[in-house]
Amino acid sequence: MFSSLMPQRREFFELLAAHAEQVVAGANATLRLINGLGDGSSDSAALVAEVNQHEQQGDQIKAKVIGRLHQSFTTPINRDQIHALITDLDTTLNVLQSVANAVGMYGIKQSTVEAREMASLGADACMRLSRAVMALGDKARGAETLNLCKEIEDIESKADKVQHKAITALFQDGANIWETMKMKEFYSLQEAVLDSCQEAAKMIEEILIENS
Amino acid sequence: MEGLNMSIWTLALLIAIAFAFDFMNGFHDGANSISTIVATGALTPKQAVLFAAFFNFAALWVFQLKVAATIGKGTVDPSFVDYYVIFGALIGALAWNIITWYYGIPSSSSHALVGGLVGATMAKAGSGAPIVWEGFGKILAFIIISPLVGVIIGGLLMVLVAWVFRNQSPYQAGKWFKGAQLFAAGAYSLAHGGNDAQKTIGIIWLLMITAGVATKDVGTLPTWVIYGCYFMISWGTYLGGWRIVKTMGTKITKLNAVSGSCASMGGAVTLAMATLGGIPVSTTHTITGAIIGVGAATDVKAVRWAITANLLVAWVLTIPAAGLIAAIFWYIGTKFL
Repeated sequence: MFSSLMPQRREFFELLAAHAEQVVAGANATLRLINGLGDGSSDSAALVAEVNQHEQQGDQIKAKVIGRLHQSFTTPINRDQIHALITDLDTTLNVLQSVANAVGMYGIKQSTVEAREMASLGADACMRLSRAVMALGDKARGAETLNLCKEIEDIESKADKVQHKAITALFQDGANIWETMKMKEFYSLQEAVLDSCQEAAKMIEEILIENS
Repeated sequence: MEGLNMSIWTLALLIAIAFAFDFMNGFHDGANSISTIVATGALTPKQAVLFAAFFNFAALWVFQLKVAATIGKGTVDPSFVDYYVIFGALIGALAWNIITWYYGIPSSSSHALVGGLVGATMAKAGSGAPIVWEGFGKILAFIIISPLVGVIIGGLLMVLVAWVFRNQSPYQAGKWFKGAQLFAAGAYSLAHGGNDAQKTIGIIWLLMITAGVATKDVGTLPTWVIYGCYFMISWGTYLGGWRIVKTMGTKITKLNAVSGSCASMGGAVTLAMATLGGIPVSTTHTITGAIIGVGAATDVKAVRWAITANLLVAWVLTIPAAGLIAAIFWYIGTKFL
């Protein structure tokens, strides 16, 4: 009744969507980085720099969102939920950055089938997350958004299985212990990307339930 | 006039019952004016009741006796009324107030009084003939109008505040509203005293006209009646009804300093307009409307619509229920008084 007369503050949706775009760009750069490892088809250093750049841009957007939360009387959705969602998105980007930097840090020269599969699942989940965030401000698209969240959760379960398979392979007889240690850590980081996507998806579901 | 033979004791008894009704009105409705300031923690319950009682009484110097006139001579024909009718009306209203207070239903004392008066009058007449439809119709219409106006003013105030403070967080805006909230609650208590104390003044006036000690001219009404009524409502407010504080402050919608201020101010403005227009309205309905309006602006889901529906049921029942009890006590009065 009166709620439509209140200040709408749509910019929160725009900022969340802008951050989600950085997440997608970061995930795609990470995918290219991992796919190109070992075959010399891409410039690893440039791709790591690209991921770092997206992470920085994400930080700036997050800071802007938090600043706006302190300067807004009304918010289009619950302010705690805006804070939680931007934090989940930012965590996703931070973990992507950790994955990209781990390539250099652990000296990973060759990617594995599982690492490529997980990077691809990560990019897929981030893309769906971004679509869900972009549709968040549109109540008419609630069902579609909810569906995207379910898909993200399915992708996360799939990634779990890939990770299990990958770790089983690492610990087979005669495994190189150093290789096993660093790849186990690397897979965990890759899995963390999907975990934080799932967290964000759950937050979006919560927002949708509250505002349906 | 039939009541000329009324003994001084009967007159004193009826005035005492009227004062008791007035006291109950404060006890029952006064909680509304402080529910928002207590719910948001601006004042402790003790401070809040003192504050509200003070402004209840201060209304004496602010408003003219237009509402008293509507009750005293504008609801039923005074020449038809005798002290049995007033006895029935007062007991009917009191009984209904106690019942609703006991169950924590924020019903309206005003409508209980009007319902009692009309019920006892109809019992005596056996028909609706002595009802002054111009006045009673206005009261009936405002059962719907006053909460709606409360909703609109409360809601619009909230929208206005949201735009004025759009670049501040609710916490920052809330600091500013700590003071504003008291101002709004004071205004509300003032308006509450103005509208509600006058209803009892009106009934005592009607009684005095019946007894032949006053006329329809406001100048013949003794000033102690006016002071007494304002005092009794303030005293009732001071001793306040905590059960209703809970329903109004926390169950309908969660209030903070900002929304609390808008609700109180919305209620105050609506009540003051009605009082200036001489219309007895329900303070309970008005503040409930304003709280709903504020809730609808901030978050539609924040208004607990199920509880609002409960209130509506209580509202619809008040006039007939108080009227029925009044009719019974009119009958008992004719046998024993």
